[in-house]
Amino acid sequence: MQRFVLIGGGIAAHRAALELGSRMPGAVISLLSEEAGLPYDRPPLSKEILLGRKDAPDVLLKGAAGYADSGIRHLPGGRVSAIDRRRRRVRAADGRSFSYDALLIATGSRPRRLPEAVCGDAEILYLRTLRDALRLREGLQEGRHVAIIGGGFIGLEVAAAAIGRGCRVTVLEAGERILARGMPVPVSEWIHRLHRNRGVEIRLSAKLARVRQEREGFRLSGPGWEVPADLVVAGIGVEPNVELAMAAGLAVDDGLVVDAQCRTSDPHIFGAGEVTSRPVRIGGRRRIESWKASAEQGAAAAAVMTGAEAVCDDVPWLWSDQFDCNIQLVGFPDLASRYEVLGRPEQAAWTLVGLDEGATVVGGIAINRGRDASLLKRAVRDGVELSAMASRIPA
Amino acid sequence: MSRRAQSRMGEEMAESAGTWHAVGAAEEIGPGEMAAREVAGVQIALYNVGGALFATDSVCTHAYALLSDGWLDDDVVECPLHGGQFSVRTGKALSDPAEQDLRTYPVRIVEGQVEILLPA
Repeated sequence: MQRFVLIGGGIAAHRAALELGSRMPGAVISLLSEEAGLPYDRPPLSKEILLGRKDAPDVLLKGAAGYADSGIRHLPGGRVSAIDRRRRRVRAADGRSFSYDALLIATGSRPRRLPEAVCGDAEILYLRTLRDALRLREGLQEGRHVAIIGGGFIGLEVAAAAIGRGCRVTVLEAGERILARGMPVPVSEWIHRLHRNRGVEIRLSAKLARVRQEREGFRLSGPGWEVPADLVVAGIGVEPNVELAMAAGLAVDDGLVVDAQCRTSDPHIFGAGEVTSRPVRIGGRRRIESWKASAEQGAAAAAVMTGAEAVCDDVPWLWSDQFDCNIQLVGFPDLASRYEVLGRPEQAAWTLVGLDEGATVVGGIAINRGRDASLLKRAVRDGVELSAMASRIPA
Repeated sequence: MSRRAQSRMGEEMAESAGTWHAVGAAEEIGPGEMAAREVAGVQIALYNVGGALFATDSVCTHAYALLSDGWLDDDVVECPLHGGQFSVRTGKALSDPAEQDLRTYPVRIVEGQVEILLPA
């Protein structure tokens, strides 16, 4: 009988578990998750959960409640302490061990923490888990001043939600613009204006030196500036949870190294989700932080684990909802050598298309133009030129 | 009972369970195109797949967005907001993050006019 062990509790592990259950009825499938409770969906955490439009039961992943019926043994609230590759066995911190024919590492990532030299023991909030989100929501009370460290997607989504809950919001970005990682300048600038118009104060080049927590609140400071706050949230990137894989001697380079079939350097061990560094269509390898990419990679990994063929080379794609705006990033716009604008930025519906040295579409960002995002996905996948794409778009 | 009688009876039953609504000329929607219609307060998306017309709810089952603003590839419609995909023939949710199927409606063409059957 086939024994599958999956380590993780996010969309990649969940999707892999369901896929294994449907492909191999009767197999022993053990899903070892560190968090308590059933796997849930993360995108709503920084949006609907913070806004109070959804609660914990609303974000459970579909099929999670029916694990037993799908032949999946879910073991939540336990940490895996080691992988014994020679014996093909995973050991949990509580002493139990699980033998496998195929193992999936889908341990995801964790928020990068502020260095202790900066924040000491000040109570900084981070956003990764459902618990984090519920705790943060409690803190987002009307009239409070929220300082957000980091002008990336998470920070900006928290900013939008905090404004929605009546808070005063200051975003502190160390770089010269928000969304500097992965977003072209015109998009950074457009989203900057969006936030400013909705009441968010954004401070650029604000290098944080100190966060002090005093009786009456927080005090954040850097060279030449100081900001008081009632609540401090940090969104300064993530770090892949690769420790287990490293300790087991698997190849790790930034993330857990996998090929397009989700194989690691051990033929019995596979990887999926944000923890992995995977080959991508353009530009070598990447760690992709995207719900959709993780879901698809999880399903592909499961197929390969059962001996079936599957390749995971879809075009990376992610979305962010901020205020009433839908922002979709497709492909590799950061690798473009030039850009073309479709639509009208001043009317809040436009698309920035990234092109290579020729005119081939390598990616883009669609803002409130979802149809363009669909088109971009296909254009990047098929490597078409802008003219072929633009002919299908109404101006 | 003959097959024809059965099918006629089925049609009559279907009709008695709802009302056919005219939603414009069939020629307005070319092959590969889709269109938005509002019928008795319901937002409907109409699709032309290689000459055959289909109708579904236009509001995505995942989050509020109109599928008629999305992308139609053969018989699959993709939501403009988060990329969930549905079969326009069956309403079946085909890809993440769509989980719940879409409601479909019978369509017929009467003298060049498209009609949709809305349940009572």
